[in-house]
Parts: sequence; structure tokens; C-alpha cells
Amino acid sequence: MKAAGRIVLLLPVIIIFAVACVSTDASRQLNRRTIASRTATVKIVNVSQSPNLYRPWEMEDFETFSGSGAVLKDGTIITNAHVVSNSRYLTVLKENDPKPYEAEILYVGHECDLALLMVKDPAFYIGTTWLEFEEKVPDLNSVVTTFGYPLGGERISITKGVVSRIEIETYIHQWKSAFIQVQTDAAINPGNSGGPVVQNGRIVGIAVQGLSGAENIGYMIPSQIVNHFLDDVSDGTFDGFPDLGVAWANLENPDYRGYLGMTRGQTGVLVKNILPGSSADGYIRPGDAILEVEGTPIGNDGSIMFENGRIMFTYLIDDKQVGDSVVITLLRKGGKKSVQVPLFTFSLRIPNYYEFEKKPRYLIYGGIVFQRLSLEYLNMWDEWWDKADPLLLYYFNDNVSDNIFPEREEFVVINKILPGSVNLYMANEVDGVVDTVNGIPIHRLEDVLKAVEHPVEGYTVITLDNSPRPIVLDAEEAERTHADILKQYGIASDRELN
Amino acid sequence: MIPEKVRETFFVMLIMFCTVIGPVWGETGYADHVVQVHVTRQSWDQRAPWQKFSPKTDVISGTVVPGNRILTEAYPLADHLLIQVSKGGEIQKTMARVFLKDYNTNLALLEVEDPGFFQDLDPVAFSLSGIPQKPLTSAVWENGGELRTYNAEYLRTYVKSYRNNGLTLCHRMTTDHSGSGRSEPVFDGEGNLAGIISNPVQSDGSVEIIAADSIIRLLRDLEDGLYQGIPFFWLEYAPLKGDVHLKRFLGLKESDEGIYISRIPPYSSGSDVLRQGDVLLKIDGYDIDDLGTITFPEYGKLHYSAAVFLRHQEGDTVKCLVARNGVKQEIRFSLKAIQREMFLIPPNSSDVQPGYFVWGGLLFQELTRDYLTSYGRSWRQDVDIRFLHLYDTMEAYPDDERRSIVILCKVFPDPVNVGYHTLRNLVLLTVDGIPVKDLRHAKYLIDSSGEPYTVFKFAGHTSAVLRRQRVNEVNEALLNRYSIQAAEYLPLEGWEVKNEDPD
Repeated sequence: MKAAGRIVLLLPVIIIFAVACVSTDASRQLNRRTIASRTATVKIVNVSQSPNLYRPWEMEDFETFSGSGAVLKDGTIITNAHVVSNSRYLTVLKENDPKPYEAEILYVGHECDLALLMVKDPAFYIGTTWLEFEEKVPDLNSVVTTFGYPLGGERISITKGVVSRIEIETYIHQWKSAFIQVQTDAAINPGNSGGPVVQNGRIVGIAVQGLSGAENIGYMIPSQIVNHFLDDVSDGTFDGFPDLGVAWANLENPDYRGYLGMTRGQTGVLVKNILPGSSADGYIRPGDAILEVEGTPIGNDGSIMFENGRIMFTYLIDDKQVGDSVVITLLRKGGKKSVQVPLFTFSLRIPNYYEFEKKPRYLIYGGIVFQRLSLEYLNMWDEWWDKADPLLLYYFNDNVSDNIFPEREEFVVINKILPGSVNLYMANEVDGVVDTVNGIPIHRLEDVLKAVEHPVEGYTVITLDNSPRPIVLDAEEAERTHADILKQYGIASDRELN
Repeated sequence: MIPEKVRETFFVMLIMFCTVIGPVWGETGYADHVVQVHVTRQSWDQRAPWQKFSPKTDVISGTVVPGNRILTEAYPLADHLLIQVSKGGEIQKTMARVFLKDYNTNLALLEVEDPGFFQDLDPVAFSLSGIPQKPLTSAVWENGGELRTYNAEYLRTYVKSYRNNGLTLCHRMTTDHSGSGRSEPVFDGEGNLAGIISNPVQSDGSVEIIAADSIIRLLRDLEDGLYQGIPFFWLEYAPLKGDVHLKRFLGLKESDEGIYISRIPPYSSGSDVLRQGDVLLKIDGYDIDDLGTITFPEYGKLHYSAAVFLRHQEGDTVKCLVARNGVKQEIRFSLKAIQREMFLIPPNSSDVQPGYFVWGGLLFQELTRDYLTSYGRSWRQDVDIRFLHLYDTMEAYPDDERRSIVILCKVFPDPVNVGYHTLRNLVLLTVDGIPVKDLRHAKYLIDSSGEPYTVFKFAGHTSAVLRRQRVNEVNEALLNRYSIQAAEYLPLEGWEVKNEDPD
């Protein structure tokens, strides 16, 4: 069953980190750089409030989190998105200054876990310095230093480590995308998040997350991703990272390559599926082999050469901005072909990532609370991946690959029934997925609203996927008792259709 | 076929005869009815179907029934290799063989090779239908040759369904024997058989008894020498549960009671005349209430299916009253027996080796319930979610296009299948672009292809390509390396070459 309270799965997993760098330069220079990094590192205190998925018309109690951030040349402060998400009240503190300064969020990019803030009071900037970004990814085994305020302390903490690994990994804040990440062995603790990771006085990354269950593994967002974010917002809007919309498989099997007509020297990956409506739709087809992206050959395992090692070719797409296009070399039916694919972002019908700053969509009719299926909906179960309703799990996992109900823009689920005379006979329909209302197929929550206006012989008839019994409500009674039900259960609004 | 009336009369006489000649009751009486069944069984490893798990030997109870046969449960005999029986608590065992094993009712009959075995045994008589008379006694041979009896107390009677298709009438009883659950007979106050225990004692101290009614039904079915099994009448339905809104919407009166038919599998009896959206009000003369139960004079409320499976067999005609679009009408249909091919995912695959083949290290099998449950107690959480969805929704039934679901279970790593090592638990859709009908068909498509490459497409847009010549070169060595004793075991039944068009 669904758990009684929302599990705050995300935040405890993310451990904030900041790594300070010590170079081998002369000690005086070192000192000066350290002081600059210190005075550019701030503590961020966020009062955050999340929506309540069980009762989507309510908010959870607020919680206070702290993290770190770095002042940039233009006075903005770079930090992690998870430090400032769902913010209600945001303040920034400097070392040796007890005054909290109110800050506002200029831009937030949840998928890359970055945010840009600004402090309104100019007095804040007195005595602060600023940092600039290093363009290059730091070398493996080179020393980096994190600056930050771990575990909510008042004084700055400086720790030292080396770069242990450079890899493409999921950014767990939103659990949406995998981008390049730099792993370090510096101590990473809650509160470090958003702090600068410095080498030779320049930021090489933003501390982001630690790995629980492993020792001395912490991650930073390298400056490539930070610069992508800063470039993106330079026009005044955050567009996000473009999605190609290709599901791909390795081509490590020589027979598969032979079957596709690839020559001995050719390498690449197989296109399994194209998400309908995504960037690749119309340009790339299932069964194509992707040989090159922007002229860079793709390995049979999907990797490309990067710096001194190999990372996934998706890096080449991540490097682009929305509105850019990417040149992809394909092998189609044995013939080589280049396509120029304009890139944009793409959202899924069933979000398999976390959403922020948004109230959950819902609609109440006849005491039935309709919501949409999403990762956050499933997250209401303890260990949802095992315990949630199997039909919901099947839809969640395979709706793209099995093209389940392609006409549905979202999957409308009954989350709750607020008992009243109108729904007296409803029983086991909670977590059922709505198929039709009054014979009208339900492709999104708004369709429910329209459909209930056309009752069938005085009844509103709701059918669910794989559920034998139609739900029949007296339409007039549903109308008449609607306000009473809302009042009785203390619900201010019967809908949120943002 | 013997006319029903004659059959019934004969059967009633048989039961009466048994009752009249029944011995004087007492513990010695029980001893003449109860035997020990020693069963050695060895089940196939569903995940490595060329091999079997360790053999196990269990001792369960058997009950002597008319015709020199021994009645026991079917499930404890699943995958049996050797069955022996012993009587009087003696150590000496006699070879026995299965005469009938019906997993749909969980009942089995054994025959003994030595006819002398039955000389000092007496067949039981059966309780008449209805709540068994007190006091209830279960009897079992304990180690050491002593017949122990235990008290039992009747609680209630209900219809139990097994794995989607099986149905038996069961009594629930409390017992003071905490070790019960191995097919022990339960006798009523008259010394007649009220049923056999079919499940271990629950935490509440109760046990499940397969009622004499179901046993009598089985014996009666056998009278003409041909066992047909319980008829297959399977609806997906929802009880109306007093829902006045639904009733009015369906054009019914509030006082009308019944069940709403949401789906009827094409293989079910009545699928040609009953329709989705019908409300079933009456079956075989019994009124169906809003909870889907009927009132049996002997037992009170029972699931509506009891009217069909307890009282009828294949070929009988059943009369129903349905409301269709608000109009009540009488509908008749004749009953069909359960056949294996009614299920896309077979609910039970005991006693037969699972079909499989290994080609280029790719292990293909058919999806069965036993494959799913081989994942252990929490199989519902551990199996592939697409498999679980197929199993739960039964969204498809077998037909000429697809008789079973062929799956790629796993890949035995080898240079020939590099790149595919992580593929597992995938539904095979096509081989060389041709939709796969069943396991035999899949193998045929591979064997008969003239193309240099064999292309497999799986659900979820996964695919694999192997070069036939390379596979043929390495297959033998691969099988040896992983100690796979045979490249294939194809089910005896299934798609046949002759079915294919000559082109």
C-alpha cells in the first residue's frame, strides 16, 4: 500500500560537497587564492515547501535546508538547484558576517542541478570576491579543493582531494538526465552542495552529491555543464538541455554489424526506437546505425574519446543548446547518410523524474480525486519499484517502448475517493487508470472536466483500464453535492490544472 | 455416452451400496480406509530446463475408494517419479501408479499393481452433500505404525479456485492436529468420508478440506471410463454489490441482483452467447445475488460457479437468465471441458519437461506460470514487469497466430553472442520478420531460414542478429562448456510443419 507520509527520498541521498584546491604554486600565491575562494564562498539557507501528493490541494510543512554557493563576477551566485528548490524564503550568509541577506532565484535548471541567485542588498557584496571558471576538465589525480559549509556549520570548511574519475552519470536531483560528472575522493557532506571546487584559483566544478554506501566518493558538476547552463540563461530564459529522443543499443556484436552492412572499420550504435515528437523524429529511424555525431566516431559501445578516456556519446548532444542542430552520420539500409537534426527538449507522458516548483495536477469530481501518473505519484509507495500497483509500474516502465495508448498525453489515475453519498458504491478503484468518462476517451485531466458535462441518461460512467466494473455516478447528485464534499473535507479548490 | 439419467441412478446406487456394506465404525474402521502414500518427486528446473532439482520423498495419506483405487491430492504428486503405498502402518510398501491426476480439482487416484493389496481394506462411503455431521475425525498413520485420530470442527463451505482455472468445493475446519495438511481423510459422525485435507494448518488453527461433493463429482465423471474434468466456464465479472446507480444505468430494477460480465474468454463455455455488458441474473435455476453467490440448499451461499462445476460436466446444457440492454432473456449454452491450449500462459506445467532450445547461447522457453513462480516467494516483485502484466491481465488468449509466449530467458556468454550478454526475460516477437506462434515454430523458423543472418525482434524494441554459420560452428562447444545436456527439448504439442503453406 501507499505509505502514510511522503517519503523525502531525495534530499537525504544528496550529500552536499565542496572541495578546496591546493596547488603546488608558491605558498603566498596559494594563500591569496585560498582567501579569494573563501570570500567567494557563501552559505545558503533555504526554507522549502513541497506539495503533498496524497492531498494535492495541500502543501507539506516547510523544512529548512542549507547549502553552499559561489559568487561570480557579475555578482550572481551559482549553487545547486536542490539547494534552492521549492523555495519559500531564501537567504545567503557570508563568513564573518552574522547578517542573513535575502536572495532571489534568477534561474534554476533542475536537470543539471544548477541555480543562479542574486542578493538584493548591495551591502552583501562588500568584502566578497568572485571566482571564474576553468574551461578544461581537471586531470585525473590532480588535486582539487572544495569550499563550503557542510552540515550547516557557521564557519567555512575547506577539504582537499583528487579527481578520481570522469564519467557520465545520472544527476540524482531530478533523476532525469545523465551528464558528465567528475568524481573526487574529497569528503562530501550535506551542506557542501553548491560550493565551488577549485583548482589553481579557478572553479573546476560545483560540488553536488555524495554517494552513500561507498567511501570517499563525491561528485562535482564540471565547468562544461555549468557553462552550458550559464550560456543557456544568458538570453534571459532557461531552455534546458536538448533531448535527441533516441533509444539505442550497443553494436558490439560483429554479426549484427555485418547484417547492417557495416564495413570492418565502421563502428556505431543501433537505433532501437525514436520517441514520437522528439528531435530525432523524422530524421532518424529505428534500425539505423549512428556512426558519427558532429564528425566524432561513436564506438560500438556508444563511447567517444574525451580528454584521455572514453565517455558516452550523449555528451556531444548535451554540449548543444536548444535551437542548435547536430549533424549525425547514419548507416541506413547499408548506405551512409548525414542528417542535420534541430534540437529541442522533450517531455514524457509519464514523467520518470522529479518535478519542482509545480503544484501537482489534480481534479475532483463526485468526491473522486483524479491525478496524473508520474514518478512522484509512484513515490507515494514505500519501495515503489517493488510495491506499487503492477499495472501502474508496467505503464511507467514500458509506456514508451510498448507505445501504450499512444493517444494519451498523460495517464489519469484515481488517487483517492472522498466518501460521500454520490460515490457510496465505489470500492477498489483507487489507483485505477481512467480509460473513458461517459464514453469519451480520457487523454488528459482536462478531458475528465469536459466529459462530465455530457452525462449518459443522467449518469456519469467511468471505465478504468483492466477493471471490470464501470463506475456509475448520478450526475445531478455529483453536481449538487460537489461544494459540500469540498467543504466537508476542507478542500479550497477542486482542481489544479497548471 | 451414457444418458445422464441412467448415469445418475447408477451412481446413487453405487454410493448407497458402499454405505450399506460399510464396516462397523471405530478406529479399526478408519484403519481399513487409510493408507500411506510414499511419493518421490523431482521437479524440472524451470530456469535451466535440461536439468532437475534434487528428488524429494514425502509421505502423505491416501483413502481407499470404490474400484480398488486410492484417493489423494494431485499437487503433492506433481512431478512424481515413484509412488508406493503401505497399509496398516506397516513398513512394507507396494508399488502404485497414478490413474488420474487432476490439478484443476487437486484430486488424484492411484492404482496398485498387486490386487491383493486391497484384500483387507475397505472403500469409504461418502458423506451426503451438505454440512458434514459431527463429530468430525481425521485419521493418519503415524511413524511407528499407529493410527492416530484427531478432532475437527466444521466452520464453513466455499468454492476454491486454483491458478485461474481449477475449482473445488472446500470446507474449512479447525483441527487439534497441528501437523495436518497431507491429504488426510476427514470422516463424519457416521464414518463416511467428508473430504480430504488439502493444505497445511493455518495460523488460526484451521485447515482446508476438499469436500466429498468434489470427490463424488470426480468419480462420477469417471463412470463412463473417460474423465473429462470440470467444465470450463470462466467469466471476468464484477458483482453489482447493491450499486443502485449502476443498476439503473443498466436498465435494471433495484431489486434485480446479479453480476456484470466484463469479459469472457473466447475458450470459455458460453462465450458464443454471453456478451460483455450482460448482467447474469440466474444460472442453472439458481438466483445469483449482488455478491455473485447462489444459495445451495445444502450449504447456503456459494460462488455461482458451483452451480456449473459441481453439478455438470462437458456436453451438458446450462440455462442462464441475463439482462442485456435492460431486457431479460434466457440463454443456453453447452459446457466445454478445460483444455491446456486455453491458456496463453499455462497455469500448471507439472509432470512435463519445460520446452526450450539454446541457439547461439540464447535460451528460449515458453512463458508459464511455473517459470514466473520459479523466482520464489516474492516472484510477483521479482519477475519482469511486462511478464507480470501479461499474466495478470490475460489480455490475450491463444489462437492460430499465437499459441504461447516465447521468451528469451537469458544468454550464455560466448564470443558468438557478444553484445547480447545482458539480454534477459524478453518476449520474442519475430524471427526474420515472421511472427512467432510458439516455441516449436520459433525453432522451425530458425532452422528453415535460408538467410545468412537470423534476426530476432523482441518486445520493447530490442533485437539481436546472429550469423547462422557461426552459430552452427560453436553451438556444440557452447553447450558443452555450460553443461547443457541437450540443445533443445521441444514440447510434444504445438505448431507443426504440415500446418505451413507449401510456399
